[in-house]
Amino acid sequence: MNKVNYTPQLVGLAPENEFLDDQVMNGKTAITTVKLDVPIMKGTKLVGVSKKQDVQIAEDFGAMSLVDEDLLIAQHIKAGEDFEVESFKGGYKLNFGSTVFFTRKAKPKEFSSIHAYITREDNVVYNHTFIEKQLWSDFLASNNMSEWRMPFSPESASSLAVSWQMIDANGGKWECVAPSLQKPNYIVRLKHFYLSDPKAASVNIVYGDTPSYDEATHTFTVQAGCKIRLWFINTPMGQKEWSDEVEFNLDTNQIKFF
Amino acid sequence: MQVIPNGNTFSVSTQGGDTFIAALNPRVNGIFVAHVAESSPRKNFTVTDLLDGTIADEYLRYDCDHAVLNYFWGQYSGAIVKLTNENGSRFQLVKMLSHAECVEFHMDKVGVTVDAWNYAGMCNVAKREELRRAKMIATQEATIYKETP
Repeated sequence: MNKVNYTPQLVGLAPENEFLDDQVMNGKTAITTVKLDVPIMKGTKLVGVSKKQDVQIAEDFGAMSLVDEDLLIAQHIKAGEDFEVESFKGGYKLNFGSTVFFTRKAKPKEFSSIHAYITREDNVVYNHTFIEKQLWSDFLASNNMSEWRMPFSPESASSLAVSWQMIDANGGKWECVAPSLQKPNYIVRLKHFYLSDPKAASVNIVYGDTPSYDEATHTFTVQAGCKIRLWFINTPMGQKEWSDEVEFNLDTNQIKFF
Repeated sequence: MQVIPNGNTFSVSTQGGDTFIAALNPRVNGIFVAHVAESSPRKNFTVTDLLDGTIADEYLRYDCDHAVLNYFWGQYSGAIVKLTNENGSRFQLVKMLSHAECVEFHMDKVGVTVDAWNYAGMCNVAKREELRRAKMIATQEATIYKETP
């Protein structure tokens, strides 16, 4: 594998948003419009009620309610959504209109920059996931994972996991899960499952064999229209606190993951 | 409970239980924010409102006074902390709150609407009460006044 150096553009961060890559989300406030009955006063007397007036209220989502969000903001930023940035108490206020995010600078040994990234050379797919702007294997070689924390789990050691998903043309999936990036070999959890009829009223998940996988060589035979999706997840509290994913399409081929 | 301002942070020490940090007049874009106070089960922790890398256990986001409220064995205790930049300190301890002061109801009347609240009510883990209060304050602030002749 040719080593790829991290650049913000490589993982989909626009140059104008690079400065956010060492920030972590500190909170989120949603602004909504509700209809309320508003009193009409004349002096100190009530003279009427204006029914169902549009009034804005704001709702704060505290730290714990951000669990299962993208705590490192990257997915929102990389999705290309428009937002306004304002310096705020040394961090930033990111105004997406109806939602306002607050960010702060990451503390030492606190994850702020993790990006899934995959490349393909011939029939081999490589995982180049970047942790703190380093190739994951380089990062793990020079850092003790138990010292690192996610922003909202300061007491919990990180437990990184990565999974490959292969998605065929009709939505069927093969999963290939690694419990930890510290284990170099992916442990395959191969159950081919798919929705028998995506339009049906109830979902019928069908499990099948894994005809396209060769255990000896850890190689998949894929068909045109298949996709590879890499999920990279951190679950320090047993709940997903952060994930990043990338995806690309495959031709008919034999594919081996590394 | 002890609350001690120290430069850019203040430290909180309690005997146990849960401690909540509630913004007393949180605003975003000028709108009152319904919020569940940040809470910590720790007996000792630090708080800052600076997001620039200042190290603390909890981070405040609103430019307003805050109430630090502890609930332990059926008793509330608390402190009001104000943002300041005087004498090299980011925070100023305004007053300590007894259990009686924490549970005492306050009635803020505007026109014909009354916002009833107490400090103990801010020790919430659900947001329903906070949303109700945000709607009440929004109603008060939207109240229409006709000129008297």
